[in-house]
Amino acid sequence: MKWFDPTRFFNITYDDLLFRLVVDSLLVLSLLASGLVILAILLRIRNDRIQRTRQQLEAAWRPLLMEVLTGERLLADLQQRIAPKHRFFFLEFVYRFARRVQGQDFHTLCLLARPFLPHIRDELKKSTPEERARRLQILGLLGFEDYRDEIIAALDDPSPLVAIVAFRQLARPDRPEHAPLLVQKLPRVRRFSHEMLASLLAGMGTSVLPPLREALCDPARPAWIRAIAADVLARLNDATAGPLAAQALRNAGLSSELATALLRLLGAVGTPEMLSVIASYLEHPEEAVRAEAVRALGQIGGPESVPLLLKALDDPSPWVAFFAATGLQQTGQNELLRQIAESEHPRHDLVRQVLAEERLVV
Amino acid sequence: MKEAFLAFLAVFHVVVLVYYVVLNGYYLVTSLFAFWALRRHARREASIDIDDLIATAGAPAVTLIVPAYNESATIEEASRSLLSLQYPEYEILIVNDGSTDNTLEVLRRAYRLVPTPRYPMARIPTAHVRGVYQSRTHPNLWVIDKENGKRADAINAGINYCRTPLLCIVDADGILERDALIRIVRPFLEDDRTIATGGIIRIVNGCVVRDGVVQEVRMPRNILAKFQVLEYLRAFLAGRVGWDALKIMLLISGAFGMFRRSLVVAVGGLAHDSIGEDLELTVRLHRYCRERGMPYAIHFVPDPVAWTEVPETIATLGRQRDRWHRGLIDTMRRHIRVLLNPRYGRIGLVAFPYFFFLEMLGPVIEFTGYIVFALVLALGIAQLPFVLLFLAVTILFGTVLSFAAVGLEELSFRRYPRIRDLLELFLLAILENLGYRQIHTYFRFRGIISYLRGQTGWGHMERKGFRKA
Repeated sequence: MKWFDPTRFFNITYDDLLFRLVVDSLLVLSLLASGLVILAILLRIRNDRIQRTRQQLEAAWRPLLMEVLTGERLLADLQQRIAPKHRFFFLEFVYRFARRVQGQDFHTLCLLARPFLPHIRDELKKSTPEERARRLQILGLLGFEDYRDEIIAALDDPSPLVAIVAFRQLARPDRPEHAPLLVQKLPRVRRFSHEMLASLLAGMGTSVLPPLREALCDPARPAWIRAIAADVLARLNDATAGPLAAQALRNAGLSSELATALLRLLGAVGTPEMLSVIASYLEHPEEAVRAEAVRALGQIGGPESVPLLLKALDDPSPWVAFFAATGLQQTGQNELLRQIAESEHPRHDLVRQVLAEERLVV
Repeated sequence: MKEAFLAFLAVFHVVVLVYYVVLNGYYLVTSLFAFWALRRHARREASIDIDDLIATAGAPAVTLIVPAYNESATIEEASRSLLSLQYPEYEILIVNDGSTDNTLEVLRRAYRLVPTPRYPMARIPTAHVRGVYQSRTHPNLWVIDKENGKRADAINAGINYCRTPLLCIVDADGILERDALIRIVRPFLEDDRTIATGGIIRIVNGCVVRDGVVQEVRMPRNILAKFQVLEYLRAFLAGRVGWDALKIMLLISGAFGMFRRSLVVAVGGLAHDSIGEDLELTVRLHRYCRERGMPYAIHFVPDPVAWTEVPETIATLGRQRDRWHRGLIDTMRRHIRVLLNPRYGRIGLVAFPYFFFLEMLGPVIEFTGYIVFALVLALGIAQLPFVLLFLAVTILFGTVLSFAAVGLEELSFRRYPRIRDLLELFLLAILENLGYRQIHTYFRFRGIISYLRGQTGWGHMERKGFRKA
């Protein structure tokens, strides 16, 4: 410590300095500990009070809301009772009800919330993504028609969290016109589960098919987008997409994610003419790709696919063998399966399981 | 002799000082990050209506793997709790790991089990599986009966029979809250890179349980269990929430953790010869992804709750902590190349060194510290007031951190509804320094000795069963 001698600076000895440091630390820590205790108790009192206030407000609003829904009371009666400081809480209260109802009741709740929505629209510029997303969620449910532009704009929000809330609001069967936009904006929500995105898009129904077919055929698009497209097209059983998938599968060097999705699509909508393309993936090094190829083979193949399925039953991967056994059952080879189940075949247990699941053996 | 001791003392007091500064500094940083993360979590929870999202977009199917060894006291209640979970699609695989009590019989009677063909979809080596049963009353409940092979082996057997993209490891003596699966799966929906998530473990001792559901949250009556409530709050709310915020999550608890099945199979399942298999698996997953340059994320989620019974006797607690510490040393030894290795990013440079130097070697410093402290006082080498003041500072720092953990609980989840529970937690934060911490240090130190002696056993954990309404 030659470069810095605190004893000279404070004009005291090391022992004194250390002693003082310890005493000071003790004081600071004592203050900190007391502060934390007081803070926690105050927090408890505050939280209890907020909870009580909310419970009281909800208890007062609930019967009025029921009367509004049954037509015994005017909307304005309830709206007038909402103090400005309780607006957001009231909207959250209405939101919770609106999630559970449909038809006229839902429409009434939207009308009830309407005068308060401009306030939260103004708050869409709030600094934290969570606050923006929360407000957008309420706007999307209770005021979609009035705030459609804001919701579409939110797809470009810097936060993926806000973007996914907007995406979720737009991806609905009764809003088919947004399908091309949502496909285009997929990169904004890339980090979210691809299965979830596919499920949301599939929920929109047939309106989403054209832009997704286009995405599927476009080799310039990222593989993950094409994989989502294939997944959605498979969920919607889009027969038109079958040849497109077969064509895409003829290209070498596909990522395993995309190849798996395309094979799943072929399994759903492919035709026996596409068996040769599927067969070319039976020796793929990736287990998931082979399994999907075997599954597709079982789903669309006829008797001609039986030798391939039998061979796949010996694949080192239990998944491939499982789909091979399922495929054999789907192609009507129950007798053959029973023979395997009773034999010394290395997969006889697996075949027994497949037969048991189909209630073909007791 | 005295000169040698004084020389040792000169070095040792620097070691102790550095240890306490680094340890408490680390805890302080994680607590601050935990504060920020918990506030963010609460806002985030309200920003995406996850129930609604799952209702419309679905959620990946999950298999719950429940290793059970001599769990006849709690298995029926625990499995009933698992059967009542809110989740669109899940299966339960209870793996009876060669129990010597009537665990299998209890299950067979309660759920009308029948032998059913089921083929393993992975080939992780395990002890011999004697039979697979499916429930007639609950078709999503399966029991795998196997020869004893320890907990990791039982979980591996469950992984072999798992057919869903996600698997969730749950302790047989635990109770999951009804929405726990929906909450723990959330990061898998929100971040496609997620490969594992962990939930919070809370203590069921003292709580009222009815039909597999915790009806009333109470502080335990037993003093040891009370201290563990505080300890768990500190470990999960201040520790893991902070680690998650810092992206250094190195431990997904084996009592309640969800994993991507394909990844767990790819790394070969849990190390069957490991004692701390949950930590070991998490480290191995990190290594696997980092060594292959795979994008991935491991998260801790603070609101999905698994309630678990904790030891109420010194002997049981000692065996448990001894085992935990042996598990820690074992994992550190197996993955020593991660230590301070920049190739593993924050895991190698922050998380692993924390576990190595502070968690693993900490008991050596602390235990030696207590002995040296006693010697120094006995020999009259140091000034008593100064030593006592220094001791007071270290204790107070620990107390402040415990207070912070209680504060974090109050800020976020407030699971203990009575004000006297809150005050009791504060009191415990002070009292734990007067015995519990020292005992805890001793058990961890004993764990080091046991490890060096080559002890590999699990030790017996007594189960009292849940307190019913």
